[in-house]
Amino acid sequence: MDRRMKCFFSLFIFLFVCRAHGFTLVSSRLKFPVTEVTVNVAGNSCSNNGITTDHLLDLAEQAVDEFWNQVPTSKMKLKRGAVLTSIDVSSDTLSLAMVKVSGNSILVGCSGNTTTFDSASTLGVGNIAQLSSGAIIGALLINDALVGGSNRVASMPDSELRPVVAHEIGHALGIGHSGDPIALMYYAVGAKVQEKLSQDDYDAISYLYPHPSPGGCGSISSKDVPPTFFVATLCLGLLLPFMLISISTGSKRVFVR
Amino acid sequence: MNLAVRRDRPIPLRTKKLNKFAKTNIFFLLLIFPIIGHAIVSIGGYVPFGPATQKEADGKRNTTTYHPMLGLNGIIPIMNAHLFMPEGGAVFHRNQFDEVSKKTLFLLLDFGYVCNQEFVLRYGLGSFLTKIGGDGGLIAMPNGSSTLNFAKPDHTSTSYNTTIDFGLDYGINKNYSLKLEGFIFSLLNSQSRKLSYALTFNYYLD
Repeated sequence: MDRRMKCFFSLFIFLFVCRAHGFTLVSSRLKFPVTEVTVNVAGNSCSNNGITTDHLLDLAEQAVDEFWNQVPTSKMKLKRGAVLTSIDVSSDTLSLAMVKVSGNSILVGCSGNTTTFDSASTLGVGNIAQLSSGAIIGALLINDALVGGSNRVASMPDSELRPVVAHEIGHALGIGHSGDPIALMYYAVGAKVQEKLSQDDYDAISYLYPHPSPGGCGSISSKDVPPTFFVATLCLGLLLPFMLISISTGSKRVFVR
Repeated sequence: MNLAVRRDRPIPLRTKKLNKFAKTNIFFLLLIFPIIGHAIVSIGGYVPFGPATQKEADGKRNTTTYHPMLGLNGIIPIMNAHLFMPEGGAVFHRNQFDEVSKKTLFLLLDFGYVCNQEFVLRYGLGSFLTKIGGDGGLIAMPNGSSTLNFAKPDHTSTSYNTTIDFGLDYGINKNYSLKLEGFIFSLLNSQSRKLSYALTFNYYLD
């Protein structure tokens, strides 16, 4: 290997950098079997934090549009549902709320349950579950409890509430907490301004709901057959005409530096 | 630079750790490239979805945090100043935690237009494979005021994306060039349309 090649590869080694990544999944490893999930809102009002059901639906829509629907390497698309007036989760724990959700959807609601929200610092809870029917559902509850006579959510502007809702929707999709403090799925909000997903959040949803092959294989794991044949055929099809042109015209000094 | 056909020098490339898919494609490229034109090794940095990802607590975007990439290019003259410039390669994402491993493989079917002796305009289609995986198990992480067990990724998951590519190749001298290239993901979807870009330093093998 000549000196120039050594320098070249030394530069490559120098380029290696370390970044904090470390997404996790919920312990059940559940995920939706579909790539389009509807986000609905429970019909009960949020009496203590002052959020109306329509506003909560708007917040949920903005949360999915500004965060989870932004990832090109994921096929998962979350869409706005409706306010389900027949569902009341005002005093439910998360497990109680989950049995009220229909399959392949996520329910967002306000709960004043003081067992679930025993601290003002807990802004919301969310999770994914499998019903006895086998259907996968997700649910998240926003803190509507009065702890010490106040509710922290009530004083939060929409710009801070959206990431909270998006974080809990992440749990409802099957994503766990991240070790990256910048990630949306980090366990604490702190003083962080969350305007975009971090690369770790991209990886998390891409891992759970990968974008399928254009060849229609729909590959979601290494157990599936990769579309080698499709890509190889595409390459061969595109390269052959140029090879023939190249051979027929002979070598020309076109790319001179 | 001479475009003479070279068959005497195989391009060294380790493929032991790559999966069957990558092996097949790299083998295919190795067969084709030495026969049809120049072979170029490129190294550089790849910024996935740069401005659309956050890297600081104050909301600052991730515009320059790169991941090292290695590529193998070919140049095939088509006619006049037009070139076919296929490229295959890999991005080696480096993670601080052991829980997650990530690798991106790409195959670009780019065309080039020789603007002058220094600049080549590139455009074309690309295929990106993003492989994310882990060894499984559980990990205790903070959850509110206590901790909770979360699951680590236990298999490899692959996303396939087709991209629109555009870029500029600047020839430094007869052996080296500098290439800046952008890759548009999900062109037809306004929500998930994202731009990744790469800056690479290229070395001509012949």
